[in-house]
Amino acid sequence: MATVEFREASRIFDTMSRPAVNRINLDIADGEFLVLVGPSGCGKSTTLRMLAGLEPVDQGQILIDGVDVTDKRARDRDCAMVFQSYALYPNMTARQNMSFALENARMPKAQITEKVAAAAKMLELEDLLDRKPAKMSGGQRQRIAMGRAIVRDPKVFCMDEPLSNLDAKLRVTTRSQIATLQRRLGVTTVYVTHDQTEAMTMGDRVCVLKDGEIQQVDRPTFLYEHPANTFVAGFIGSPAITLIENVEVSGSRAVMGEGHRMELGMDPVLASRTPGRVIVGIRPEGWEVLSEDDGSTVPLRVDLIEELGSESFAYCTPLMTADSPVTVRNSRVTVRAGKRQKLSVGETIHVRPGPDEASFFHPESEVNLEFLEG
Amino acid sequence: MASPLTIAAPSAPEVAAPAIGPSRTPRTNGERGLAGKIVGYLGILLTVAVILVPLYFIVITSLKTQPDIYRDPITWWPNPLAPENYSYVGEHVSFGKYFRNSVIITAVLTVVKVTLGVLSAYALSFLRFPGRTLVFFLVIASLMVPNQITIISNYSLVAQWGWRNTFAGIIVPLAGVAFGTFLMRNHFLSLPKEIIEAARMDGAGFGRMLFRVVLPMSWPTLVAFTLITIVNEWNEYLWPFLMSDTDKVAPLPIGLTFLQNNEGLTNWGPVMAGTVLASIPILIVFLVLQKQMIKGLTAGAVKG
Repeated sequence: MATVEFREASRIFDTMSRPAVNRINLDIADGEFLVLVGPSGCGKSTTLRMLAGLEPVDQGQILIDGVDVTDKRARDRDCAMVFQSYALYPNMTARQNMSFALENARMPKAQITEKVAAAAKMLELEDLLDRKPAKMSGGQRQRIAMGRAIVRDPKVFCMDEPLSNLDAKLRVTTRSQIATLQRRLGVTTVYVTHDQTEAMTMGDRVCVLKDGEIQQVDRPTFLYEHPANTFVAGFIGSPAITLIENVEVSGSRAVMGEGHRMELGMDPVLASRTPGRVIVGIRPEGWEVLSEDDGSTVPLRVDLIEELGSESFAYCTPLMTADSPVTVRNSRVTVRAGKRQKLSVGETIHVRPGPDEASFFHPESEVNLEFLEG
Repeated sequence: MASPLTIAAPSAPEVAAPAIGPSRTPRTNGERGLAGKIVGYLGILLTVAVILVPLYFIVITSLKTQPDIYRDPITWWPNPLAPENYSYVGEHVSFGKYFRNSVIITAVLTVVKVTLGVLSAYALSFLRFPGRTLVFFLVIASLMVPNQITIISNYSLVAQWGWRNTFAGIIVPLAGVAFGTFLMRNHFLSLPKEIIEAARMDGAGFGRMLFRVVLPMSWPTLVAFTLITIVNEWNEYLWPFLMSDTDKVAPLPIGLTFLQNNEGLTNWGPVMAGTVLASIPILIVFLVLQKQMIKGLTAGAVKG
């Protein structure tokens, strides 16, 4: 059990281009489950591999339990890793796979047997112990890979998209199993994923990365409700948030066009932090759907409806007046409709954001106004 | 067979077939399959004939008497049968000694070459050191030089050391292993990177990494490399021929030439009998290792 600290840590593959990981500062508490999330190529896996010792740290430091491990070899860092491809040794049985690290550490045989048995019991893979990976299903291999990490009692678990090769249903069950297991073992865990559902549901905190830089680190719900910038707002949440650009604010209302306003309920304190125009972000569930225009709504034409059973999402084109300076990013507004709300394709609906549902971003830096100084 | 691409082919009615309408007459899979099979079998027959006819002639010649061998037209079956050629080999050359020499040379060279090949390939694929690529290019470059070119300088050096007619004189200059390094390195680099990383994180040292992780995933390639080495060394001719002129260290191929010389290049029966005897051990090795090779190939298809 240990804390992990990244201090200005960078990984530079090629001095001519932008660093893969750019001066990351991150403190991970003892026993914490931290999720690194971001689009592909954002440096999340590289960050994890730097911690594991599989990738050199070109600048800065990494500390595990207060000890600088920057120049230590992978085997001396006491991190266990679960790989995306599981990386089980194909020539060894599950038992041998799990005991390999302990044998390398010259642990007495009896103790190895005991540890492997305990881990196998915890992960319910006693029946698989004498099977080789080739004879196992994806889910079973995944559990063996977890077992191989657990038996070592490492200071840190590093998990690199361990669920991405499982089918959707298994992924959901395994997701909760891993989260439960981590809480039970209390081992500091860094978990890389590109799946934001995993990020939201598993982690104590979520760290969103983009282009090798940290965008925001916070509790999942806080991240969802108070995204630091438009990137985090767009990345977290599915379907994605709707971003309305070039919105002129007048009082608490947005001017959507000549004589056409939309009630935003914007805090005057926030309004004072902008040069006049803002980017407004509204999540699909933040819209109120009205059947008629009451002067504070925006008309939308429904293009596509996704029925999920318990709810449905309508993807709509905003019907702006011709002179409107306002644009919607990706030209799409996503609206969540309740179970009883029947919408149909081609219909025109009138929407407005519910109270406190809108986030406001600076038009140039795209940073959330809440995070800016007045 | 008329190619459908031939322009001047008015006689081919199937080209005009679309005009007839719905009564299309596609060639069935069965027909195509049969034609394919015939072509395939013809190909196999031709290949087998090219390889088998000379082999067959070696075997029957080894059982022929001297006049029978020179009979015109050639005969395809020994008449009379002359198995005494085989006992002649045993009596007139020290076949046992040559055989022993061959086994010693092949065994030592195979062990040395496989060991060096695996170790150098391991270094070139898993260790990071400056000039790694350069070393690899040097290894490749040495493959480009035919060894006949270096043979004179090698000879003068080794003869100067007084290594003629010694095993060291035959073995040491042949122990260079560029091909094996090349083969094994490329194979090691094709192994899933994560497994090597997993082993590194699991604290595997050099020995356990090599013997428990890397080599078990490399059996087919390693067996193929070993097999090629064994066959090559067993059949090695030029260098041992230059290095030895007695039965003290000369391997079987050289022994066969002594047999030839003894008989003034005429009595081919015993020479062929000797050739057959010399190739039997390699056939056995092939039969044993071949199964391993195939087993390894299919096991490697499923990655854990």
